[in-house]
Amino acid sequence: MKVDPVLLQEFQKRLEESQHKMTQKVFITSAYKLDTAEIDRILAVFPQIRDKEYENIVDKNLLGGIIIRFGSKVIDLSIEETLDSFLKHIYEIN
Amino acid sequence: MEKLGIDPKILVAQLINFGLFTFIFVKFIAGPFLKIIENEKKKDQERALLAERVTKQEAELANLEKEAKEKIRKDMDAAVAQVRKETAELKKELMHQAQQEAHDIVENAQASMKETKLQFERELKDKLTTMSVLIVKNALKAYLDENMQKSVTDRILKELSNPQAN
Repeated sequence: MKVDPVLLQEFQKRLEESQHKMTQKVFITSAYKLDTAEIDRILAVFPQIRDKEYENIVDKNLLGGIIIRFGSKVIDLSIEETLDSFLKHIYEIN
Repeated sequence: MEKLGIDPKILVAQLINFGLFTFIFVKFIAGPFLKIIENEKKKDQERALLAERVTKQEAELANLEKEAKEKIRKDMDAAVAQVRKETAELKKELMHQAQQEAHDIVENAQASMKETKLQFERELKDKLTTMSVLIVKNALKAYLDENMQKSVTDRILKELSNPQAN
C-alpha cells in the first residue's frame, strides 16, 4: 500500500509532538483528588518535575499514597508498593 | 623151528608186516597225533598265560578304577567345599550390598522427605504471607476513607521532606 509522503510526514510530526508532550508531562496518580497544596508539596520534594506540566489521575483502586510517572520513570509511593515490597522481602527470607 | 610151530616165512612176513605197520603208524598216525597233543598243550599254556594276564589286568583295572573313584570323590569334595566357600562369600557380599542399598534408599528417602517438608513449609509460608497481605489490602480498602488517605499522603510527603526524621 502506498502512503502519501506528506501525510506520513505529518503523522510522524504529530506522533513526535505527542511523545514529547508525554515525556514532558508528569502524571500523579492518587486514590483521591489532590489539592493544590499537596501538589505543591510533591513538586517541592521532586525538583526534577517542578517545571513540568502535571496531571492528577484519580484511581479509586489505589489504597493510599501516590504514584508519580514522568517519561519512562515511575516513583511509586503507594501503600500497595509498600506491601508488595514487604511481600518480596518475606519471600526472600523464606 | 618148525618143531616149535614157527614158520620162518611167516615170521619174516610178520616181521616185515610189523615193520611196515610201525613205519606207517609212526609216520602217519603217532606223529600227527603227538603234534596235535603238543599243539593243544601249547594252546592250554597260552590260554593259562592269557587268563593270568587277563586276571592281572582286571586287578590292575579294578585298582585303577578304585583310584579314579577316590580321586573323583576327593575332587568332588574339594569342588563342593570350594562352591560352599564361594557361595558363602557371595552371600556375604550380596547381604552387604543389599544392606548398603537399603541404607542408601532410606537415606535418600529421608533426604527427599526432608526436602519435601522444607518445600512444603516454604510454600505454606509464601501462601500465608500472600494471604496476609491480601487480607491487609482488603482491610485497608474497607477501612481507609479519604481523610485517612490524605493523612497517608501527608505522612509520605513529610517523610520525603525530612528523611532523617525516620
